[in-house]
Amino acid sequence: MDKARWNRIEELYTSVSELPEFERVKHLAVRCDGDEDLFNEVVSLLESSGESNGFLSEGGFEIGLKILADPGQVLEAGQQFGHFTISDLLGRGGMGEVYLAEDSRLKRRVALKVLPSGFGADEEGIRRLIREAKMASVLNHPNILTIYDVGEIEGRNFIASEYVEGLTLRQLLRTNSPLPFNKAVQIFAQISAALAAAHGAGIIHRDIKPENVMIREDGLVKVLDFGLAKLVPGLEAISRPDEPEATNPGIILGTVSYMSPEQVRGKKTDERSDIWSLGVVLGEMLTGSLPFSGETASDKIAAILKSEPELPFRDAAGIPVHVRRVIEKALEKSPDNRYRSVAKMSEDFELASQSHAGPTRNGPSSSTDYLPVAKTEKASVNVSTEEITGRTDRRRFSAKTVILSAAIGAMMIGGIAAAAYFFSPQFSQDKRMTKVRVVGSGNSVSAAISPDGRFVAHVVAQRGTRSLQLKDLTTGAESVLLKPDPFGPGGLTFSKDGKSIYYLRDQDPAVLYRLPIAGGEPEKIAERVDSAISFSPDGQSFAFIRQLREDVNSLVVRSADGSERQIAVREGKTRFGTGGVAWSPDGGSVASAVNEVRGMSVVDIAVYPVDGGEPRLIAPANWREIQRLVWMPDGSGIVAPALERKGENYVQLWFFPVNGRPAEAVTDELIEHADVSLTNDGKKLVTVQWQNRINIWKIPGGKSELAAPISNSIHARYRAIALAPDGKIVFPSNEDSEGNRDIWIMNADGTGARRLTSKQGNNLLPCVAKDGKYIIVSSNRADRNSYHIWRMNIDGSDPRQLTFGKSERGPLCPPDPSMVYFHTGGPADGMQVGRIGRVSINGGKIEILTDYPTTRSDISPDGKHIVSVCKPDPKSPFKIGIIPIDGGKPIKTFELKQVSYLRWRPDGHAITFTRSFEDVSNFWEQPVDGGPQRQLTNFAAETIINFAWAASGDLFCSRGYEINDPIILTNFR
Amino acid sequence: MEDFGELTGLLAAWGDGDPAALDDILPLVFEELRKIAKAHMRKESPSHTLQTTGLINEAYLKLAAQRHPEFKNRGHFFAIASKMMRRVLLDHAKGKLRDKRGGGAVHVELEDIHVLTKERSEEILALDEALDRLSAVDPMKCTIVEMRHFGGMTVEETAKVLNVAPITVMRHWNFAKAWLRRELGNKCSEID
Repeated sequence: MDKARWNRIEELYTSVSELPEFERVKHLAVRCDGDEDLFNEVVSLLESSGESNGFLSEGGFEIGLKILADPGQVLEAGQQFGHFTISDLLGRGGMGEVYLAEDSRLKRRVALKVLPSGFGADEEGIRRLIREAKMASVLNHPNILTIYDVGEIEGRNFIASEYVEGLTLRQLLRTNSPLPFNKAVQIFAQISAALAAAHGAGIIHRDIKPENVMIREDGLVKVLDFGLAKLVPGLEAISRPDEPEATNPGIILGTVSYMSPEQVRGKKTDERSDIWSLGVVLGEMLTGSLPFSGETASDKIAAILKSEPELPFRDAAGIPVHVRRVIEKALEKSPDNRYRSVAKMSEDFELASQSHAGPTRNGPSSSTDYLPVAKTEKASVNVSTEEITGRTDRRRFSAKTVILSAAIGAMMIGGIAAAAYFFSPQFSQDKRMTKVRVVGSGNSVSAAISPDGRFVAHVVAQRGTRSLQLKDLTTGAESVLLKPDPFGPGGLTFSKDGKSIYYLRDQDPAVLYRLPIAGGEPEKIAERVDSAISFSPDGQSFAFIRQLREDVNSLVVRSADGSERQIAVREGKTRFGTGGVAWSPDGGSVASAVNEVRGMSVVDIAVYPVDGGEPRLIAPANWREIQRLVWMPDGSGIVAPALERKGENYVQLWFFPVNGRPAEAVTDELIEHADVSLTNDGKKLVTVQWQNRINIWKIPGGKSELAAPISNSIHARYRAIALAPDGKIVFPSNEDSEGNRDIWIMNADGTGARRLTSKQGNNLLPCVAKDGKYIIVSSNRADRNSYHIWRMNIDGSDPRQLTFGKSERGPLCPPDPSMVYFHTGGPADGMQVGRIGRVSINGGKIEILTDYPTTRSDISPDGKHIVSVCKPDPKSPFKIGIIPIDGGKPIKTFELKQVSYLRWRPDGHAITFTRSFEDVSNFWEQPVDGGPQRQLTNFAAETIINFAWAASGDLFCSRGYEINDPIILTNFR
Repeated sequence: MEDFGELTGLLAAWGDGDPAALDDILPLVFEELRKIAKAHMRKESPSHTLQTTGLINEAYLKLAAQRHPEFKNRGHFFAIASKMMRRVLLDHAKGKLRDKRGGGAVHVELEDIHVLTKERSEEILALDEALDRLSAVDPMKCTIVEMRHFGGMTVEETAKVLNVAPITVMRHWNFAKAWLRRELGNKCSEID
């Protein structure tokens, strides 16, 4: 559209839409001045401008988040998923995917159903599937597909079952319908056996159909998906009765035809519903058609509810009338008129089929495809015994493990708690802060200490769920107060008497509950509580933040009688932080963090008088983040986890004096802190420490089974690594509080670490010249805002800046020690984006080698090529590209699914890279002469950060993980 | 993730009006934002409830301010996050429809419950196409829709990022909504 016209339309629309409705058309007509198209255009827009914003004002971001949190990734062949190695994708549906996989612990093939995860998924549906799979896993019968394992890996629920190679009954019927009588008899006998066993265990299948019956090559029948059937499968069909089935392949076709009348009505079903379905299957096997048919789902449903079954047995088959009777009895409309048990039906059918004129089951089999029932039964017994043994062993093992680890846990907890109690008075004498880990599971995300200091309640987050656990510090006893729940507890606060714990649950809106720690049911206290609460000194009231609208929230006080009072409302620019408020010990005020949410965050603490009045701001320094607040019992100030605006990158505990003096750091560690609570006497503080543990690993020959850490850091100490020709390891340290990252060197076995630079800005991604003389880094030591290539002697001395462009980073050291390669970019100095450049080891003029985005490169051992994550074609995704050492377009490209560092293997034949799923990374390689990418390692945990090959063929990498534990601090002030 | 030297260049190029540069930035930002979204599900601090601005802010602080100092311009980041969300939704919707159409016969039938319904997926595709058309004639409005709808940003935040008055954002937003509603018309069941 013409821009001028567009502007005209908008102008008219805007001015007219401000008018009262009845005047709009009149004004518009005048102003359009006979331009009818213009008039119609604006009118149509006005008609579309309803008050309701519909989907445009909500949803997009939230849905995006759900997808981000759970993109429903498909695992790939070769990929490691916990202890399973994926071989093939067998199928995919809304409730996850099914893979053929190898269980690497037990070395067996499994069918692995991986259910969707995350808060976008249908939690209830998944829970039900899991519950039912667990139920079904107790079924131990040769004709029932064995469920091996139900659990969670990387936040995704999975169901591992026996993998059966064979055809489904549906597939068999496609080419062989009706089935020969004997085959039908054999299959029916085995399905009945399976159902009888399940019903005996109180499990109803609810979805018996040819698709759920597998026939192994040797004729053994396996019934699938026990307990996985939909609970009310009829509803979908009924809601769309007129839709022809052809447009809904699979779902309705497969389901409705085998459903009992009570199922299609959505009524309660029992084993007699399975008997109906079995009757339909038997009828179909013997006649080749369905007893209740119809063109559409609704026709079928009508037939199921009303019509007599059609059983067009072919006369030639000579099937006795008794067989028909058996099927008809199974297909009685009223469950009460059907067989009461599968066993009875099976017995009747056996009798009836013995009178069959054709080849009998006792005579010589006409078919070698199927084993006689007797033989099958024998096989079943064997299989069964084997499975029972395997199962029992596994159970015993895991039970033992649980007991053992619980015992160790109890010992450790007891020990730690005793130590804490025993030593704390002593330590309070000499005023040194002590730190005691409450639990070491590494999964606690939130914690609170009871006012008397006896208990620590903490939230354990695992695979998307959160549970509430309680630790008695005097006895070491641990109990689970709330079972894992995806919307599980947060914002823990003990009541003043320490007898109950208050928590928030992520409902919509968030709801505050109270739970007696001695046991009992949670009690709902209040809705729309959007921050952790804080009690008044008398324990009769509590304060919290309530979100009123998108950018308006309020500080609310609620009394014991449930009445609420709003102390203050903040909207627009500065709103209340929702980490948690703090009621002052004198009862007179409530403090809350306030956030300036636009621009760079500016955060402060506002102390509001409870009786109204202007707040006092007590944290005038610039803070990026202030989380939950807690008052010191003497009223001197507030302790909170906070992130300074400048310098530090870790959330530390800070003390904010109420008198306006500068805040003082309580903790100063390279660890993140979250949550804070205090005992009544203010002597003990509980927080949660978050840390990354990253260590350097040596992987001899690139074989993961030989991998061993050569460093032992409890912090995120190692990231980038480089190897010197003599095997020494060069690495930058963690960023310190002033934003410096020093360069260190250590021996190949992790000993003798030495710092080479001190407070010289951020020094990143080192490489070592191949003659071993220099370490090359990208550093911002000259100007904090830009990075350039620097060289220093191998001992860190004589630093010299080699490049002076806009931005040069990621140096690469080629075999020729006289040159340095690097990445550069920035249109400001006339260059295009992301290019590879080179410069003499002595500095000088920069030479630019590529004109397309390139990053994370490495130079081949023979010095002839550069391998790069590059994008020579702007329309294609990033690829692995092999580029001539003097630059230009890549001569070869290979697919790259995730951006990764690339390293040339020392023999020059392959490019090594990493791929991660969830937080687990593994090494892969791409042969340089083409050929498929293959996985080198089988790590089942930890993320790889960076890596390098030694000339010897050993691989070194930095890899690590995140842990978080509740910590008790004493003498922290 | 220490070195993304070229990110500076990409951001600058995108800021200078090279739309192709965004394609290069998105994958870089995606992984980080995804981690934050996931982490947010695990971790409760600093805020308990999920607030859009809080989350983008957290993403910005963690990703931009700390790990990628190149993200000096917060507006860039918000705009990128919004565009990324648009793409995430689009890709997901496309995948959803593909799954629906393909749907090979698998012996394990699973209930079809997912983040997006088929109808919703079609809406997202239609919205995406309409936004492309809007962008061709009035890119500013398209950006505002992205920020408001996909980025979850308030009028004030959008105004700040785009360096215009809130009333201007409101005017563009109102018009864009009316236009999109009309364009999507019967394709979009949720309109009014």
